[in-house]
Amino acid sequence: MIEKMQFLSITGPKEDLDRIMKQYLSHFEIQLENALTELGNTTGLSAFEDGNPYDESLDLSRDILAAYGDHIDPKLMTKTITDSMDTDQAAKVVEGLRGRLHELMEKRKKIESDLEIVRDSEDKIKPFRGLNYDISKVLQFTTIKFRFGKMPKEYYTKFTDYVYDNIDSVMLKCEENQDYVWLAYFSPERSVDKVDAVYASMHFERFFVPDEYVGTPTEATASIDRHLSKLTEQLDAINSEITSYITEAAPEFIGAYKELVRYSRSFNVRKLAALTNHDGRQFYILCGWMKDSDANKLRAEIADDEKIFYTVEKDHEKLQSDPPVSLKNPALFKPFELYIRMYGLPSYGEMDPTILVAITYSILFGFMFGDAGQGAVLLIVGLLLYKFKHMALAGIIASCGFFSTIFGFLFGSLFGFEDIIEARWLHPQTAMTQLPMIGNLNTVFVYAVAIGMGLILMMMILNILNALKNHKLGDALFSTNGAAGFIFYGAVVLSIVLIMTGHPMPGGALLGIMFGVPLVLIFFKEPLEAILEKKKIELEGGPGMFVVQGFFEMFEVMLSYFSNTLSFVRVGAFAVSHAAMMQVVLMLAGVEAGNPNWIVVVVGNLFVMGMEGLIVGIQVLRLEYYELFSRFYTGAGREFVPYTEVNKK
Amino acid sequence: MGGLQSYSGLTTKIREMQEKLFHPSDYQELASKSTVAEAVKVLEKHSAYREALSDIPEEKLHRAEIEAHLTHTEYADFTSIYLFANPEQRKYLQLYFTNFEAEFLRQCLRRAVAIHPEAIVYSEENLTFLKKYSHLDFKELLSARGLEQYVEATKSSKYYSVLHMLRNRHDENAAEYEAAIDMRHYRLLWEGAQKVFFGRDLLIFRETMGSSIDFMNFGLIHRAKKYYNMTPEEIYALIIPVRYRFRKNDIVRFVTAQNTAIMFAHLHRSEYGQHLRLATEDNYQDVMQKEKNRLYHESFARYPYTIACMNTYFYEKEREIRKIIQTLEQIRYREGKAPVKPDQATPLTKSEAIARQNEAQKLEEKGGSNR
Repeated sequence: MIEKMQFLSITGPKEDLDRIMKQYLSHFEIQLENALTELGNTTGLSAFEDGNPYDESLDLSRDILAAYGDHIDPKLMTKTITDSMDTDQAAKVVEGLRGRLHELMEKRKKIESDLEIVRDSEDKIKPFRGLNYDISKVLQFTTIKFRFGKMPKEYYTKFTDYVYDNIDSVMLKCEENQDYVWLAYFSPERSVDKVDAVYASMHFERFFVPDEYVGTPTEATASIDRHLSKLTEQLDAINSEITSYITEAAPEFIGAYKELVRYSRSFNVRKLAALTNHDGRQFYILCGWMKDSDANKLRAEIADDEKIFYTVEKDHEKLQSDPPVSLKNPALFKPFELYIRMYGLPSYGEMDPTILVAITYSILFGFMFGDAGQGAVLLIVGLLLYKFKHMALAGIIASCGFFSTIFGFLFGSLFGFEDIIEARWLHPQTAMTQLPMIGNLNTVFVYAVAIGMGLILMMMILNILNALKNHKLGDALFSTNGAAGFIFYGAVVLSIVLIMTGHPMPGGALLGIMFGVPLVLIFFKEPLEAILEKKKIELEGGPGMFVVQGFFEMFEVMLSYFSNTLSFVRVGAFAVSHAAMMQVVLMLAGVEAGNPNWIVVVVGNLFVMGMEGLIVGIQVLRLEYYELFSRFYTGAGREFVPYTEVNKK
Repeated sequence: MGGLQSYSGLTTKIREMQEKLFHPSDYQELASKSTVAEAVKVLEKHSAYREALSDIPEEKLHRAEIEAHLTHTEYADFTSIYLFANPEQRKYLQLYFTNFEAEFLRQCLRRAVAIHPEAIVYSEENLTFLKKYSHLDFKELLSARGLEQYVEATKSSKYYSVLHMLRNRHDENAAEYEAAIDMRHYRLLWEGAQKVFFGRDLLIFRETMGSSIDFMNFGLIHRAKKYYNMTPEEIYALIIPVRYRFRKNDIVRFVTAQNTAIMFAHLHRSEYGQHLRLATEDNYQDVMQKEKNRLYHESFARYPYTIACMNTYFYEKEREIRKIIQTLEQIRYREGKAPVKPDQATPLTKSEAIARQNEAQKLEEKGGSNR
């Protein structure tokens, strides 16, 4: 079933919009349409142009959330806030949080930069750990100058090879890595300039060792380490201060955040609203679709409000947007809406095929998968999954399992054993029917084709009804799935039934009318339609082309009747193959030998259930979509998505 | 390891590739042409260059474009040998590949400091080849303008630390950077070889590469002394930090020699003395080139089933390309057209002049006449 929809237009003073959103529209499902497009023909309309005044606060709170979200209890996000604050308060809360956080961050930055400096000193002094001199004493030398630094390896080898022996300098090599060698050198004061020049020409990079540390480089490193750990402690302290502050402020902050988000959502409704002027005042206009029941409730609620007016548009044809579709079916059939959604929702005026699909799908599945034991397992598993996991597919499986069980009793099959329960109807594998012209055939095949014919005829009727409902008389009368097609196909079915049951065929004249007239009607569908609608007859490409095209189309129509009908043989085939597969399982388990391997029986049953269940499920779905839907269903509807849900995405 | 069994296929393949190299008569034919277009036609007759050169339109026949296409043939050879080689042999190829990488870095450096960077072409297919084996940041390197950007672009490479150091000293002389690339490249090549090669392979590599570096250093010292009067420390800073047959004292003697004549006297007394006894100030480059040719050829002739096969082939191929380019340049001069040269970025400083000359020298050495 499809929910009835009402199209509401609401209007009121511009500044009242936020109140309306908060007070009424936030707890009703309404699919808002763009008012400017809906009312496109009206003059004097304009769009809202003002921006959200709290955008900045919202961005800020999102930034805070992104940066510190790890410290916020995720439960807070899902919990509904009861004592809601107003938007102004929320913005202030966020602002205050930012100020305090900024302070703390500044402190942390200071410590981090101190750390950076100390680490730098450490990096500089570490390579000289090999030196066993007190650096602060070295720094006080007067007649001897010293330099610390590093030299690229390329130059170092050349330096020691060719240069070092000839200069007044003592060099101490310290640590080295892939690229550099760290050096300290000493030189008497009088020749230090010359020596410096030589080192510099070999790309010696001098740097100043920090002198605030006393002792040998090893000792200095130790005191740097102490300094470092002290700073690290401070850093940890400030970090935990930040964390605890955030945790403490979280409930209020999240509340504020939620309020800002809510406000932004209801503010954004302006994108869909239109503005109009009246007596120098501005009014908003909102319009959208609501379910009938909701709309009536809303109308009752706002009836007393002086600042809000509404109109209901009865004639949907006048509107720009088609009514959205919301399916409403009894709980038993609800899972099958999944298949309808997969194909496409019905249009608003169309029939909702959910119940039809639910019934035919389950019965066909049961027929193809007739096993009382396996069916019961599917029923139970499906029900449990549906109850606890709310999977629509599980509901479908349960319903299929139910019919599977029924057919299991009819076929006398229990977990593949054909002899435990008595077949109430027949054994698909063995029951045969003698037919004239065709010969011996599995009875289930005959029934399958018969069911198929019945279903096709039924779909044609549905199509005719649909077409009449939508005032498409031509389609209802002359199309392949209309009255003409119905009479032709019905005649064929009738003839087959008569032949097969050994009755004589009707006379030639009657046959001519039964077969000939509908075909001629289908052939001339287009011109006939034009006559009905009182239009001029236009034959594309001239009469010659029309006849050739028509001939091949007829050919195709006949072929598709034939193949669509035969398509249903699969229903019988699967009933047989299910029994055959279980026979194989039982054979492998050695049931006939009298000493069955129960593990094989169980595994085999599970395998067949999973494998064949899947295949049968797909095959039936194919029958539904291809043989049935194609005859009467378009599925071009659009889903009803209330404004609140659009926003959540 | 090594030996006939693992090298028989590769060596045969390389011998076949060697057959396609130029013969003296080919150079003569090339040199006899009066226009570049005609000369390119001659090149197209050779199977090695046919494909690479056939699709250049005539108006694009300038040096950089032709050079890019010729270089591509070397890359193609490398690829085909690489695909053929086994993992052990690929170690040599991976080491050899660093030559391409260093050359690319030099080119990019020149691009980065040139006034008209478009003058230096790196064709798309050449880049594709390099990208396959190298992790350099190609996009950054090719778009770098100025030393600052260039040095940052080398960040992922092993050259970064030394280039960065120059940058820290606010050294604006591009030649210093190029010299630094050379120094690091050859040091890593030399140290890398000690790690991956053993026994005969290592000897062959040291003999050929070591002598080449020794000769390069000798040339550097000679030019620094003769034309630029550099102080010994400056010279030491310039040379490549690898020695093979030169002793420590040899280098010190060269650098501190009172004049260049004494340098040559010292050269004759070094381990190379016997082979370079004919070297004089005027012809030492030719003599050294011939000695290098001899070393490479001999190593292949005596030990064909070692890395010598690849080592010698690449040496010959590269020399051939340099010679072809040189010949084409000569033809262009004769044609009377001004040669298209990469732009001169900044006024020459002393060491840049040396590096430039050094570069020209390298070209000459590699492409030296076939006399």
